[in-house]
Amino acid sequence: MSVGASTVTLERSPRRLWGLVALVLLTALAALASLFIGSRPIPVAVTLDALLAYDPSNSAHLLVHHLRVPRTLLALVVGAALGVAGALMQGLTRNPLADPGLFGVNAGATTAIVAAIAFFGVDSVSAYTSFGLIGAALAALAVYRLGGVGGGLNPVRVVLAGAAITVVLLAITHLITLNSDVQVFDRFRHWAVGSLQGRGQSVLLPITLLVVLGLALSLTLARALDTVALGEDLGRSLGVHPVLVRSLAALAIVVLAGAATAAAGPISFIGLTAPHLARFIVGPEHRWLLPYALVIAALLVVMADVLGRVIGYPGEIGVGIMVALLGGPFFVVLVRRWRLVQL
Amino acid sequence: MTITQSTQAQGRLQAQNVTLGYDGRQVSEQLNLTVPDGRFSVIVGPNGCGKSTLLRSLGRLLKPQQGQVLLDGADMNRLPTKALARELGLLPQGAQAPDGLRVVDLVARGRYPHQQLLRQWSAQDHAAVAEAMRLTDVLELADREVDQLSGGQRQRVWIAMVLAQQTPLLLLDEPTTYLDLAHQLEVLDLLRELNRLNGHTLVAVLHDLNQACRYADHLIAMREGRIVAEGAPRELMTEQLVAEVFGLDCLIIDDPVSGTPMVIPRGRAG
Repeated sequence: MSVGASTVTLERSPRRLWGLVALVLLTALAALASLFIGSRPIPVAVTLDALLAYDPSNSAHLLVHHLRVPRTLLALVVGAALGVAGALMQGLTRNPLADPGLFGVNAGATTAIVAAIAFFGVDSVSAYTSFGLIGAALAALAVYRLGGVGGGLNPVRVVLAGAAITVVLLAITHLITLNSDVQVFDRFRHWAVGSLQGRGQSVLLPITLLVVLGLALSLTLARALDTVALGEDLGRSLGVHPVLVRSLAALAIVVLAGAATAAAGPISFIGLTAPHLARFIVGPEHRWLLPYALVIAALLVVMADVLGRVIGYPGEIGVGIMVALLGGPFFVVLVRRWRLVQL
Repeated sequence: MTITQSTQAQGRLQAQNVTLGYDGRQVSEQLNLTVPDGRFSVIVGPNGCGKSTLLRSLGRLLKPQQGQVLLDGADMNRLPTKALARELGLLPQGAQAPDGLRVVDLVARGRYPHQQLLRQWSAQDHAAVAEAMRLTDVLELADREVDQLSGGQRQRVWIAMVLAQQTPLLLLDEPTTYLDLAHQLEVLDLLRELNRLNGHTLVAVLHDLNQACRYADHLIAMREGRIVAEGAPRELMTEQLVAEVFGLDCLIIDDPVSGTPMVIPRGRAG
């Protein structure tokens, strides 16, 4: 035994706290960049004015105020939601490859939105959002019933149920798009690549509310999730009600992923990657993992959105595509360099 | 049948006429047991005799089909689960920690029943974790990842986790499985020390009869779902009992080191 044994401290967190602060600062920087960089060049001074001394008669100010600010905020909100939903999903299913889409949430939103466009002629982004939310909730409910989340949750069953529902829903989506006119298809494909463009206050407010609720629920569950992660038996003997905790976590996932997908279209990869990055930095403690996944995902989405505007200039590339383009190779490197943890 | 009614000990934890089983398959019928307070009890018996099932029901992981498990006279399945978790801890067999979890963080999870939403981590929690790690001698491992430890170290960490729970009653399901002999003894010594120093009431399922005899104050012998006999090892262990419980023809001598009964098998009972 080492001589220093008695001096071992059980300090549990200062490093993790500072890391989180650093990430928040980085995210704030990225958000600022997102306000100043856009497909229409606006001088830095004018942007600053728009933020600090808003003048509604100035068209540049209007643009910053009505487009860039809500868009940046939405990127943060969507990212945070996807990151936390992904971390919960991976913990819940004990599957390192799980992403929030596994609950059929994305497919549900997709089908509902394509149906809304084709059958009801819906064409506003905020109306998409409502339909997307309803579809996500319905799909999740179906998966919940099929996968038996209520009784002792079996991760394999949930994943299979999610996969089955997703396949069926995507088939329906294809059926609708193939039998509709070009306009419907065109509107749908713009939603389906995942984009933050043109989402104004009308989308931002309800989505933010939902996401805040989902995040609050998730963070409340953190310790209980840590306990359940030790296994059904230990969880119960430590005083957790595993079925209740898992059901609440599933609810949080549906709210978070559903809101994010409804707002921005299916953005894959963030929910998968951000939790892994977070776990690599802070380990598997949900108390830290969830806040880290939240900030990292928000940072990634904002960065991807800004890069999409820079690379695509004078047009732009949808954030869903950017995330996949950047995230894909990055994730491969991650997998090759470091072992992906077993859950 | 040899029923040794040793001195009727006081016990907070009791099973009353419990019938135990898993969907449709009945393991035990009408079991009665009082776990003696402040003693180290060990449940022995052949594979599949219902030892773990009994332990799980005592740890409220398995709800009896009939009868009830009582803690201080109250039906355990009606007690609030978190309050119960402050009285009774259980270490199941083959517990697995998530990858990358640090030792100190695992031990800290034992504090869950003592925490509330608004008062998450207190000085008391800190002291309990430090004390549990000191007792199990894993302080040096605090920053290591659980999955990188040796089997013996890992088991000590798990025990530290349930100790941090600070329950007066502690149940352990085969705490020595998968450990080499030296580590088995290390874990059993630790458990005995906890029992002697802190007055914990311990119940463990053990496979090795000789270890059970050496460490137990109170032996509970089971066969085919029934409690065949219970009592102090010295009074309990007879060649006849071993033949009845394990179907083993044996010779019982005094353990030359500890003086406790020692079972030397001759072969399977004819």
